[in-house]
Amino acid sequence: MFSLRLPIPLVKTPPSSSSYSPYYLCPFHDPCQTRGLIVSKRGSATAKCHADVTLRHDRVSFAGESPDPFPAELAAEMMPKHVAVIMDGNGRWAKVKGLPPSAGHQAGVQSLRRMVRLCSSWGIKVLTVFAFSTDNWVRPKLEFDFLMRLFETTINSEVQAFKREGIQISVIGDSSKLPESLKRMIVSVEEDTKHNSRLQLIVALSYSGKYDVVQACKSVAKKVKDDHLHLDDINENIIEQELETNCTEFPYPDLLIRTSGELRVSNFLLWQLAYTELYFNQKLWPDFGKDEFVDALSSFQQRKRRYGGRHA
Amino acid sequence: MTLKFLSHADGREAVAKAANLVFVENLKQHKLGGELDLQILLEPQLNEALQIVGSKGPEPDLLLVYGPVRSHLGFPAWRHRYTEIM
Repeated sequence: MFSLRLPIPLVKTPPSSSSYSPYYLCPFHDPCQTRGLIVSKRGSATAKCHADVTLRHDRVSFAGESPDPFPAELAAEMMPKHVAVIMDGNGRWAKVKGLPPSAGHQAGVQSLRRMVRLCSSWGIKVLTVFAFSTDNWVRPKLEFDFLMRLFETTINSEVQAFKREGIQISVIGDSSKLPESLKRMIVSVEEDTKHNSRLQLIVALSYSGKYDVVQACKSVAKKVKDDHLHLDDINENIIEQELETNCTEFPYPDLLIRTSGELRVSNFLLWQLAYTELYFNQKLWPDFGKDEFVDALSSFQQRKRRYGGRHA
Repeated sequence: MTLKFLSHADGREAVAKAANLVFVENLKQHKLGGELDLQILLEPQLNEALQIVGSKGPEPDLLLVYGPVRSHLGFPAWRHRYTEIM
């Protein structure tokens, strides 16, 4: 079916005195049906040029102030644009030290601060961290409540530093079950930092990869039902526009780091990790420091990424 | 005013496709342990499915047939239950 909406009003004139009475058509005001969306996907060359320009600018602007000079063993032009981290091992770190789990989470926050500073200094554009999974709701309520308060106090104490250092904060995940005060804080910090462009920190809170794909499919289905989209026009690009990582210019991580020695992606960015290089480290997250990060980046820079093709 | 152009695909073909969509959805629920509900093929479900396959539209009040034929020539049957034909 093809549908045209014409800007022609139906004029209703009173019937004439003639013996032939005209018929009046009733107007049907259905919305126009869009058979195809014009989807432009940025070419990798364009993105690369943009990244190069930004990278050079960052180094010129911040090199003198950088507390962490660029490591000599790494090549600046081969740095990943997007790094994703599964911050695993806080609980075990606390346990081996004879401390409660809350101490492990607090130490984990220090590790995250260090990671943010390093990414900011070394020209990485996006850092996505898996803070809390929808699958973590089974954890004890005491630990859950502590985590929620930890998120709030951390955001509260860091928001000024984020604004000052050009860090944009985005939070993805199913926020419906988060405490109201935390939701308000998230809205506020996202608004306050939305114009920052040095580093985008994406915090996955109450997130899982399956949830993200399901909610994207729901959005697409609703558009089809409301006649904004046709079934035959659904493709990868349409799905990608609805994933929660549509908040960033670089939604696909180049490098995923998982700490604590586990070799799983644990329902993190499932769709987005299709061609990501995976790096697993034995250290528990609170012990993951600068040296470990340099090792991960060095490993990444030695990879030969193929994206489905053969080796050159 | 909205002008809609129909084709053969919007007639019985669309209803068949929509019914298949409803059936597939129902079968999926059955495999997930839900009850296989034979009453699922209700009018709103089929209307919704027609919307999804892109062939839902308004019900006309008047259908004009030109020429000597005495048939609606495959005009979407789902849509002219109360339509006057002349």
